[in-house]
Amino acid sequence: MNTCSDEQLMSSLIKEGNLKAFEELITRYEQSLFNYIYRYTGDFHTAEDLFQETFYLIFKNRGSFNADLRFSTWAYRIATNVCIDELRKKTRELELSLEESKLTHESSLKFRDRRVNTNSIDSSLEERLIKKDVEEKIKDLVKFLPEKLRAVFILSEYHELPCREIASILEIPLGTVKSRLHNSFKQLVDLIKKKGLINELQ
Amino acid sequence: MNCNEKEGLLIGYLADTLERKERDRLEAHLSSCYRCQNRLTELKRVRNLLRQWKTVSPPPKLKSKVMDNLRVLTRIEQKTNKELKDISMDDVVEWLRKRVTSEQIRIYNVLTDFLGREKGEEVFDYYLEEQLKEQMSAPPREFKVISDALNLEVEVERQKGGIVKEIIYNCPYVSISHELKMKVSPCEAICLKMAKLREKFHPVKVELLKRLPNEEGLCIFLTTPIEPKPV
Repeated sequence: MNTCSDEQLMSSLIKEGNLKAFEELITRYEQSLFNYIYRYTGDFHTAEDLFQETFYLIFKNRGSFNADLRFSTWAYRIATNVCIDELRKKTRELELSLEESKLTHESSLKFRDRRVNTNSIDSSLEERLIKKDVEEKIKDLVKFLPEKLRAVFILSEYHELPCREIASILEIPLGTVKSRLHNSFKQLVDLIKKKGLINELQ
Repeated sequence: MNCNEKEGLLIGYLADTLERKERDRLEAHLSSCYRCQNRLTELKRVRNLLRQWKTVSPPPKLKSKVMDNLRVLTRIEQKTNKELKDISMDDVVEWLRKRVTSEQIRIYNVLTDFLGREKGEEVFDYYLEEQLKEQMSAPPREFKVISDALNLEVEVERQKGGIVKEIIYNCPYVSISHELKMKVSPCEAICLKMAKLREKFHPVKVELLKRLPNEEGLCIFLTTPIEPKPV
């Protein structure tokens, strides 16, 4: 089984219901997908749940796996969608809990300001950055990227996937991947420069 | 060439998103412009910094957690296929999936460990069936479960004369320890169901007791908070 391609394993799972094949796929992608999800969400425990969710969806939707696609592309695509869903859910929950809780009008205003006022995001980000070690700081910086840029940046920088592959995973044109990658670098560089974090980070 | 306009190109160079022509032109420019060379060096430093975010090791037993989940889910899928042909399987599976709790997985594991795979899955199937039926027939399910659980609590509390710390079901094949919260959780619903299931499978229980190391076997423990709840 170790010599089978990912796609052969998928086919064995689909046609023969071979769970061993599925297990082998998990083994092969445990490291990379877990890290992808972890970097995307920035939270270890969330990543653990979402990793399970991802493989559940891979299993559940095995019938709709397109044999023309590489398994890795499909798996990254599912993981991305799972992450996006989770982050949206989190945002909604946060909004709801803020509405429901007995926050004063003032503090809820403050929260809203934070969401729209970049300066205030920057300063709170900066405060947090000072206290953390390098990896935590990088995590915060990447988290600061808008969702769309974040996926592209992580896949390119940390998973070293070519733009063409990323385009296929995210189902967006190649040009869009390039511009998002460019923008993500730009935003990160700007942020690091603006805050003089380059020395802080070293 | 105007160096101030090169910032975007330098970032593109760093991100490797430039067209070949642009890239060649920039490289030609770089060979003669120290200022842009320095800026590129700085950008590379930033990139190297960002790359210091190392890969982490996934939590232990992640794979086996996925597989445990899956075994439960495949049972559910088979069940819904076989028993509930007229209902959209996707809906049911989707509904159940949201409710596949670690307790359910534990139930599955304990059942198959102690009863053997065949018998364990038979009991687990029965449990799933009950759960499905309930879902299909009773919209105010949550309410019913809550009132059942509260009634049970109140009854036991009365029997013990007040504060109750533990409710013990003499269930031979399932062990669940769970703290009762003020609201009723899916786990409590499962415990209640397992109690019913025990009655229905009485013959199985007798047979089983012989196989277990002691007569006590395993029990369901519902642990209540120390303070009694208002009745």
